[in-house]
Amino acid sequence: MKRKKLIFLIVISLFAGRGFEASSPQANQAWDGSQISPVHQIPLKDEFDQDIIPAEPYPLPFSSRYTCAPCHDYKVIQHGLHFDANQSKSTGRVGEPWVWVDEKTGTLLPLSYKNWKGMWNPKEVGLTAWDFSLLFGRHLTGGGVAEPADEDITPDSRWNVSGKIEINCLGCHNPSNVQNHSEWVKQILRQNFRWAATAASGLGEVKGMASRLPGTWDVFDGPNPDDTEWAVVPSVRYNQNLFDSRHRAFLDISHKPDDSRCLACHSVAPFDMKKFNFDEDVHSAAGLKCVSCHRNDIHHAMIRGYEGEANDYPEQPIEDFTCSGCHLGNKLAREGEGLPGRLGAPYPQHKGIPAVHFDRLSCTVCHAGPLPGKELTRVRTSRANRLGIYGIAKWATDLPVILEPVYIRDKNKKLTPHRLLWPAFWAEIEGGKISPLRPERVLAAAGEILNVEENVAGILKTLVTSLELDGSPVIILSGKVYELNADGGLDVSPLAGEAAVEEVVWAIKKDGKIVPLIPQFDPNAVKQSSDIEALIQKILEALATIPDASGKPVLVYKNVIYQVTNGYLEKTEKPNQTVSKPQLCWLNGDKIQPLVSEFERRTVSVTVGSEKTLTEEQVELVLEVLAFDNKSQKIQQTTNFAYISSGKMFRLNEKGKFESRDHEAAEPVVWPLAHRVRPARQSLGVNGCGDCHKLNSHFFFTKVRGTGPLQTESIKVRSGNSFMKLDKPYQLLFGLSFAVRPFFKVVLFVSTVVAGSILFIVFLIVLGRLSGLIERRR
Amino acid sequence: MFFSLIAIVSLIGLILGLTFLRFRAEIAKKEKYFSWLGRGFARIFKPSGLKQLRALYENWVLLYYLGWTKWVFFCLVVSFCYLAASGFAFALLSSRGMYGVFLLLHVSAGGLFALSLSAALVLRAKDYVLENISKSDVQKIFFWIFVISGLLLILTALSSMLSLFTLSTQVVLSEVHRSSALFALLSAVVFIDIAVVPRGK
Repeated sequence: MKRKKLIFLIVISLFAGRGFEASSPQANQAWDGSQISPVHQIPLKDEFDQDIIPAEPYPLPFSSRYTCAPCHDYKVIQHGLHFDANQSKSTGRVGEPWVWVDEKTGTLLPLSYKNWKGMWNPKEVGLTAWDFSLLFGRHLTGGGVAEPADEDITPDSRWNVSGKIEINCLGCHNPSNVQNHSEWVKQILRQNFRWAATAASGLGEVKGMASRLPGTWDVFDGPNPDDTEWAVVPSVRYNQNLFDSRHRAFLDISHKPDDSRCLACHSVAPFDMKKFNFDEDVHSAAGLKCVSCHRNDIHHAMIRGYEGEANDYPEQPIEDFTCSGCHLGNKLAREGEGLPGRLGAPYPQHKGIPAVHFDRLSCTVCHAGPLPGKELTRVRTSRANRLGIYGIAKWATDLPVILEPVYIRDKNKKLTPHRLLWPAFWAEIEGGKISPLRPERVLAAAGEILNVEENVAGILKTLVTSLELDGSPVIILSGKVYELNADGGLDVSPLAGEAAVEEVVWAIKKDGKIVPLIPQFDPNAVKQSSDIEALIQKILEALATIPDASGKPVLVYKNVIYQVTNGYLEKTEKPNQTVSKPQLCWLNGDKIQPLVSEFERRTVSVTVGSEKTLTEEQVELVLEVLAFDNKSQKIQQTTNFAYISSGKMFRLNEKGKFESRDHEAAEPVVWPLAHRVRPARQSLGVNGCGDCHKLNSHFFFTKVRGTGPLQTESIKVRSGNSFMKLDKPYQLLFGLSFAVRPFFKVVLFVSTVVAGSILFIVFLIVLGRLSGLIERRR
Repeated sequence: MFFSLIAIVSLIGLILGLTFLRFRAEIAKKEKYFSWLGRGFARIFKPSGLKQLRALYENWVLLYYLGWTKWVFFCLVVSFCYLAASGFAFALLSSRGMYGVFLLLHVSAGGLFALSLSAALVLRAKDYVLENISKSDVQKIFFWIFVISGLLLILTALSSMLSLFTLSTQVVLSEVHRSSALFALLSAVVFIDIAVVPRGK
């Protein structure tokens, strides 16, 4: 009887929940005219639409879908600009791609669910919603691809464990300084998707890692009392101070999000600039918020504010919020005249600028982004370079290299400043169609070719952990010192005070001083120091623990080989061998190979401490292994694989020779920039026509060099005018004409004075004759 | 669009008007106007037409522009012809406005026009001073309309190169430039018709 009652109650409550959702009155929520925001002292709901009671054991995280639902229609919001990239048919103006960065394979692949030129649809490259959320959840707003429908869930995913990433309303609307983007990222990486919003908002503290739970775990399973150390089930401990006696939580909601919330994902700053030198956008400096222009209603169809947006989104009154909409009062998409000066926007005079500029250039050409220089300015963006995430590890990455500004004609045929990214990826070519390879596939094929830094670092790690060294172990290669860094990679510094040594030297670094790991000794001495022999034995035993080593570790010095056999240090003489310094090697059969091979030495010296993560030698080797035909045990004559970097495609040609060539897929990906807007006094052209129109104009002829993870001389170089589709000779000639323009002005002025004076005199004569003051000629 | 319409209508109207007046004055009524006009137009490209042009040059240009001063006239005519041709071609046929090499040449021709116009004025202004407004002074009136239009053309070109005027003023200056160009062309056509084409009956 009790069970029947329970089932009945559950059914009733489910229907009640449905009914509530269906009768949600917010779709056409009308503003009552009050300029205040209501206080959000509301009950939190979990993903099953149940009230959260913070004090009860194992409470679930709050669900924005159900917590916000009584007043805000989640289904309407789901179609907002930030949430529907993978569903919306409207592409609008090109936006920033998501960049899949994998330094080891040298992959910088621009991705977008929108059909934008040069960007790959994640589905095309085999990224499921799960993969995409794991890769980019750090800067996703939730909803959309991160909240897939049940029918879109793929078998390889772990949504049942992690939960879905619902729209993170508080990510934007929580003005509190407690709102923590880094916490959000941490929770996403732990696959604590359903817990991330709660943890990031500061409503509660989340512990445990869904990523360590078995794939069969479900939220109904609850915590595992047998494991409180490793596979700890995520759990929330709510901050009960935020709840009242009726379990209603106080949510400090800001109707208009603060800039800091937008900038968590939309920051852009010049590379290597010091923070105190950074000038914010002139609009921000004037006190405007991002959302002052980038507005939205409950539909969350944010106004992007570009010219022509009204054509892309005809239902929105959008043109008011373009530059000219506020500053000039142009309402291009609507009838009638607008009023300039919206929100105090100054009315621009544009003195001396020929009107043609306003037909051919967007406002941002002169007013936004960095001024054009000899080369483009390198910037970092939040989403591409993982900015704004703080913790023990360094999150921000140098790659990808994003450059600005290049000027490209937009849909309105106006030049518009763009950001630029040179893609880099491995690809397979079939029937002329190019498909990027996932980094995992490249790594699997490449084996040790791409593991060079790890291998060398692995040896140093082994020495650190196995030996009680008085300092940190380092390796000296080609006059540089390589040591372990906090991330398990290598840091490089120049070898101070000594001439460059060609041999590989293993050493210990202490207080800046470097001493050899194995000190000088005479291996042929009748009585050898026991300390030296103990050290050699320890080192060889440590090296023997390295998995997948190339052989047995030995020490080779002069005509002697030391190796550990059955726990004892064995010394063998080789009369023909003369090695001047103690060398650690691998013994493989009769063959002795150095601990760090020539290939590794060459690669490490190029790649470590550099943004270049690959050498041409590595790429060639990887292309060979990719093209290796297991059946015939030969490299295929015509290879279908390529690597793209620096604006070039690298392939093995028909003769198996490594070569580079231009290819459409290697062309840069571009998207328009609109901010940082500079003050009028810093706009392009403020110093006159010569800002752009001169012989060596940076505006027209800035050098755009291909960038990428590959260390190569084969780099695509383009001139700024090629992006504008303008002829260089003509622009040179036109620029040159401005050199003679002052003379030209003088000619016109003198002509005007002469012609005007004669005209004036004639006028006076005629007037004099008409009035009789001057006698008429006969 | 409005300017294009006005320009086309006024130019065609003026040319047809002037030719029709001459047709009515010179030709027997039996002949059709348009066939006469067609033949006359075709004649320009025949050897006899070239001969007529040469005679015109010798009888009129060398008469009024002595010695080196003929070069002033030559520069004025060539620069004005290019300015008018390029300016109106782009105004009427292109929605983009003038660009490319044509623009560079237009600007250069503008400088030449300014110099040659002021030089021509220095040389010839005294012959065109109006004595009284009568039928015989029509040619002088069109001369001065051409000069005033030319001066406005130079002034507006110069003004647009100086950092003095706001965008809206520049738009007005551009309109004034175009209108002045139209007036200059129309007045030049009338002036040439009166001054150069031999009078019939």
